[in-house]
Amino acid sequence: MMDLIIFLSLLVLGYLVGQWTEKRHYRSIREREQQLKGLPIVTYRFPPKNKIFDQRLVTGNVVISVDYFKRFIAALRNFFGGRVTSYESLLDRARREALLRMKEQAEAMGAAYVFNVKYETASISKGRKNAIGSVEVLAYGTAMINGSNDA
Amino acid sequence: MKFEDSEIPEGINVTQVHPLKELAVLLGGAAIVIVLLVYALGLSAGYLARYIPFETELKLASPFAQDAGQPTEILDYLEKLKERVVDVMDLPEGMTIRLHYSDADTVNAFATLGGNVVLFRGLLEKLPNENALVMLMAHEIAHVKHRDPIVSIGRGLAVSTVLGLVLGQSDLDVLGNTGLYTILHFNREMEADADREALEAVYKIYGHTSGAEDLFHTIQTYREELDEKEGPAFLQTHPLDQKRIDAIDNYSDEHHWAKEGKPAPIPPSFVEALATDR
Amino acid sequence: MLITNMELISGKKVLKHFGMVNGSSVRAKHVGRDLMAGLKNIFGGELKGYTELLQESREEALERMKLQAEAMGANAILNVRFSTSSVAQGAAEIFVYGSAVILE
Repeated sequence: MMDLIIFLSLLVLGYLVGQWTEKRHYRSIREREQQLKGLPIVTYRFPPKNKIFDQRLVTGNVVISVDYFKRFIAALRNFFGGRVTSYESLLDRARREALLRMKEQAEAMGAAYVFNVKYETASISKGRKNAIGSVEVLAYGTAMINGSNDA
Repeated sequence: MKFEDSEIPEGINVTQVHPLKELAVLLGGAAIVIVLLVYALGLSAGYLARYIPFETELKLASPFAQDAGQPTEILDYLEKLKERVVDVMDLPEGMTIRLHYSDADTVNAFATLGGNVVLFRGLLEKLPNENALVMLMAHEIAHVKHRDPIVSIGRGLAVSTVLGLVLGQSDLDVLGNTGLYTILHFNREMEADADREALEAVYKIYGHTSGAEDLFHTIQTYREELDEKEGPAFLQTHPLDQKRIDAIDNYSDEHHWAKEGKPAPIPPSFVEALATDR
Repeated sequence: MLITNMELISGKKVLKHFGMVNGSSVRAKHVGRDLMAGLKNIFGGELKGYTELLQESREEALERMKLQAEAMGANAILNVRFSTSSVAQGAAEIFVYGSAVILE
């Protein structure tokens, strides 16, 4: 009986705090995406012709943790199969945040574009029973800073 | 390079579903699946367990068979009663009942593998008449006759193995409780069957069923003394006390057995022997 | 919608760039596949269940990326890259990203 009570309270706590944190984070993400809309990011490997750029590596990373509620839903999903919707938002948040941090770093350098952007995802601290503890997303690319303008 | 500012719409990479709704659907589905699975497993394991011969039970329970030894007043009387009960209960070939008496305060009695039945002083000294004592003994012997001990063990093994395989790998352990409730349902059925069989034995020995329900009254009173509430029916291993009393009442009526009669008293020497056995 | 992992298309020119688009899919397998995989761990061989799972995931991720590109008005996605990661016990994330453009 005690187990059940502990479990339920963790679940409720995870749900309430988790959902609130997530909403807050998304609001911040959308705001900053609007601000940084003007800085184009692409996956191309070759720099644009006719201009010389100062090229620097820029990175952005973030580690976001899973809450109890999300983990429980994922475990139930493991029973039936199908889309693990609770993790979709987790990864989406982490990716967008990492990208924003990279953009912020590029903007601070005065970059015009960021080229050859790549992502790396890793799951950190597999907690008990091999369940995910947290996920880290790294976004990195090359910032093209306006050097001398040729032609 | 001609760039155009663009915004990516929300909701493509994240499925817009309300988490609580998803939880309800998944949890409901999982609970239903587990209940059905455990029910099916319980039925088949029970069916198969009955094929294990009684001799195997005897081998499994042999360390338990060492008797307390000295023939005492208490054991004498209990053995004599046991013989009377076994005579009317029509046990299958090769099935013998081994009675054990424990002087512990525990208000309980149980039957286990190999025909071993244990009676505790705590319950024996509370019974008001011999008919209730016979009802108790016949109830436990009925469990042995129905092979309930080996069936319970078989079921328990099957269910815990399968649930362990299916749920063990994740946070879903807590769902194992739903399987438990299904097992309790099986237990209650076994208890009800044993009650009926025991009532028949009481009738065959005394010619009426009066006094049998005193067994349940005694248990009820004991619970009240302890201020122990029984809790919801589906969480119990036995049917609720009042239900058991009503059930044997109906059973008597169905068979047109006399319900009135004077219950036989317990011999005072036995009562004394119990009291001094503390 | 043209999807390619090259950035130079022969005979075509890029008229407009929109930037990055991505698609992701996180799927879990069900207990049936899990048990089969457990057995295969003893005997060896291809885990067909998992192969199918990842294939479906990949297709879904590509679909989502296409949706994002269409919403911007692009007609091609260049320089597409895939990334797979295991995010939870029994669940894998397939992530695909590229640059959305209008090709002439």
